[in-house]
Amino acid sequence: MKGIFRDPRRELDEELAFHLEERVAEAIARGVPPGKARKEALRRMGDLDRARAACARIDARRARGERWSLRLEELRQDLVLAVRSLKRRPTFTAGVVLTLALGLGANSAIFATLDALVLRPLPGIERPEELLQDSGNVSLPALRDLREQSRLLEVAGFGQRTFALERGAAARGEIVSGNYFQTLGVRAALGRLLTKDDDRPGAPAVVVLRHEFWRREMEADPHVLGKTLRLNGGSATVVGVAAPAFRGTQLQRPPDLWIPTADFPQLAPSAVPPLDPEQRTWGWLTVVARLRPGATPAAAEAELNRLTARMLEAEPDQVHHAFQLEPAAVAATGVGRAALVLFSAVLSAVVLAVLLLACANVANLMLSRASSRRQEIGVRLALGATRRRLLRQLLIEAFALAVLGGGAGLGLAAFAAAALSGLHLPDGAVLPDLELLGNGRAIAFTAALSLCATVLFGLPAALAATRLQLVDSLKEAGADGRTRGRLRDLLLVSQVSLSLLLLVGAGLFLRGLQRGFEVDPGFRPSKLAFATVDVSLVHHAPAQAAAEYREIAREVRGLPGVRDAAWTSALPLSENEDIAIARPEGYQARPDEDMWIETQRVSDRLFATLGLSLIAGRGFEQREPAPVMVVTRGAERRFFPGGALGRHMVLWHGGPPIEIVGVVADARFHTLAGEPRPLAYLPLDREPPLDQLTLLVRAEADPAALARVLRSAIENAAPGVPVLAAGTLDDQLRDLLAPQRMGLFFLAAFAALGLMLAFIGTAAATAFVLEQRKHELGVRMALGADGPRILRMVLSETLGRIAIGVVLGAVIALPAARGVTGLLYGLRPWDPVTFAVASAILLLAGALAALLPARRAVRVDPMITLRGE
Amino acid sequence: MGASSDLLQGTLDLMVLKALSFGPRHGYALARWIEQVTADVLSVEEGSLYPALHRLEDRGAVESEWGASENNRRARYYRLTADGRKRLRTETASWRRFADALSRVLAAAGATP
Repeated sequence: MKGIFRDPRRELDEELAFHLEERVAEAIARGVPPGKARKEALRRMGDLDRARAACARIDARRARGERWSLRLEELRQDLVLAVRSLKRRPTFTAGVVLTLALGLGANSAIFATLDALVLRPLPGIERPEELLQDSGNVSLPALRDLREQSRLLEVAGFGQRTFALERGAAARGEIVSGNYFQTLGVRAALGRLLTKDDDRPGAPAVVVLRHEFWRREMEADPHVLGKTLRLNGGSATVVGVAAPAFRGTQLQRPPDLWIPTADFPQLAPSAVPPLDPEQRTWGWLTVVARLRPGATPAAAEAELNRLTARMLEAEPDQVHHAFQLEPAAVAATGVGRAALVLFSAVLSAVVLAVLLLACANVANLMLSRASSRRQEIGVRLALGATRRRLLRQLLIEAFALAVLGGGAGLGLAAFAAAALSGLHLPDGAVLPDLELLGNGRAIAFTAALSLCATVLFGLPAALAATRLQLVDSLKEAGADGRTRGRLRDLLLVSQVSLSLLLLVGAGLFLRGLQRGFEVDPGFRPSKLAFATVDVSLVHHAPAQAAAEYREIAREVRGLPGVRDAAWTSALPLSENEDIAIARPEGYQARPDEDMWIETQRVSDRLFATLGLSLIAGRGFEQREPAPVMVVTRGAERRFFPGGALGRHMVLWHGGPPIEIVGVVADARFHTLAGEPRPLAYLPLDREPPLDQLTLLVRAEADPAALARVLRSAIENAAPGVPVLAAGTLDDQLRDLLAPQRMGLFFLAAFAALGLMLAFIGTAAATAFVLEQRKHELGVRMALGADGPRILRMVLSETLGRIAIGVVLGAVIALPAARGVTGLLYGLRPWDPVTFAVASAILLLAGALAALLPARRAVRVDPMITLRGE
Repeated sequence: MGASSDLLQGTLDLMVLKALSFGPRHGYALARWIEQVTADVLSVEEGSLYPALHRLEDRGAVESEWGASENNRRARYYRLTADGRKRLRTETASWRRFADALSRVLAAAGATP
């Protein structure tokens, strides 16, 4: 520690004075008179003040650096001491590190998940915060105008379409403006991305593939560039594969491939009805744009609306809407955002509860440990260590534990994240890969959380340990500090209440899920298989398409194991539904009455296939020469209390009144919660082909096996018609209940973790208290109290605290449960069964946790304990 | 102090390092050594030696220690560290390259000044 006890300023003066005096002495020795010698020496020195100031500055900086390194050295010593002291108690250390790893790891894994879903939903895009996305649609010429005229935005656009590949396969594609990839700042993994030159009329048809699609469908063929892809009967040359992370600008249903707008007429020839992309009346592109430097979103939105107004002046007959630009990250989550936020909030609260539990546990352990180190601490205080230094020492020990726990937690989280990757979320969204150990944000989050945890579990114990009276602690048998006793009770109570919270959450989701599976949708979903096709890609005349539908249905009905088959425009148990505004004949609607009615286009035999009973009138025939409809019982009750048969209803503004020829039983097609909504069935054969139509097949036995052969059956009956999806309705039901299932999965996992932590915490705390009260218990037993009596005493004390925790937890759980009511299918958030079972589990676990150490304590011979004093 | 004392800072550092390579010296001895070796041509402003020494000490190229001078006065002695020795080697080499290159430029055929 050189230079620490010296005054650098005095030394500097002495050093410079020495130089001057030596110079003067030398001159005098040469015979120069002293006055002149002095002047000469000063002259040779030059600007002495400047030199001195420069030296002083350097020395001061150096002194600061030395103080820092001194502090660092002290810190290092403390750390070495901490590590040594942790090594001495490997069981304690392992227990604490494992507990912290579970708490911190759970948080890291959930953070990485939410980071990917909510905070950073647009991977593979450069500076996504500058990107804005609109929700309406514009025509291709309008998009071009906006791109050329906007000064505040770099405007690009995309439209989504399904493309038929070869052999009945289908792919989701995006038709994009030539500057799409450039605007988004996407990189190519192979070859190149689309450019403006690809988007010129007459340019050769080209396609860029999504990395995932290339890997899945082309087995990551490295020679894919230059190959030809058949799309909708046309063909396009593969020019590139986008970077692996890039998955478009929507979280749901990422596209498989991208083609430029110029190729669209050629590659989507049978759009319904055939439309010319150059028409201004056809809006089919979504605007996604990058803010130019200095522009604000509000100004950009105003500019687009101004440009649109100008376009309308020049050409009034064109599709238009008011632009509403949202940050692309927000737009990406789409309608699922509210659900995602709820999901994130629930998950965050849950993992935070687990961490708090873990911290409470560790704090308790540290507290116990501090008590057993009382003597060591007392001695160190007596030897003159300051309280601050001791506090720091204890906190550094806690910090070392937190670092170990955080590191182990990251490892655990990486395992969990690998399991979560590729998880299917509701509405077709797929969780992107969570590369946790390569994610700096997740690591920083874990580090920050570990620091918070250090304070949370380390500080109470450290404060309690260093507050003790010196004299008191040097005496061997000082009573356990009252503060610590109360602190320990507080920790136990909060652990129990957090556990109850988690258990209640898991219980509610379990009961909600159970209810979801029990809800009667009105039809029997088991033994139903389905296949969704897009006939419109191949045919566009109604008669031609209808013939194709009949052909496919005939072929499928002929398959072995098929009881019946029929078409519908709405896949049951999915969220796709068409709605219209009902105008029933003779019905006086209140001004604010909700007149929405679901419409479905269906073929003959649908009701038989679904098992919906006909209540009045008739179902549909194979051919319906006049417009007719069938309504549900619910719709009849509401709109035609006197009977619906023979009455009429208008569905679309200006549309014809349609006669009602039948009434069928109600069904819940799209949500299992609430009352079935009114529904109108319309015959399929009177309309142009729809882009998505589902064949429902009632199986004799195993619908899953049937779903697998449906693809080839359809390929046989109607070559070239792409099958977009095939499966069973049981799968659909599982998908529909995915939020509940995910909620249950996470909550159950974390509740189990929490219960385990609370159990360990209670057992350890009881064991410690018993150890402290060894003497008292020994006296009691010597005075004649028997084992069972002591057990009862210990048990009632512990259970009392647990009961307080249960009540407290219930008070917190009630409002929290109300937040997830929507997911519980009519289950009340204060569901008594859930609360009762959760409380019982906790009390039982608590009793067990108290009994294990208590039994050991009463088995000891009281004389041994007393003699040990 | 003439134009020649506006030496590049690195040059001064290099001179100090070189002077110390013969053994520990105090600042005054350093000034005398430079004066003798350069025949006073460079006429280094002696005061500027000290910021250079302190800076080199801050960077770990030299160490200082108080000791007795030739006539038994307290003086601050500076000594090269291993780091300083390495620095002296690399900087000497790069100075030589620079001087070589410059003299080749000046020796090139053409009008002489």
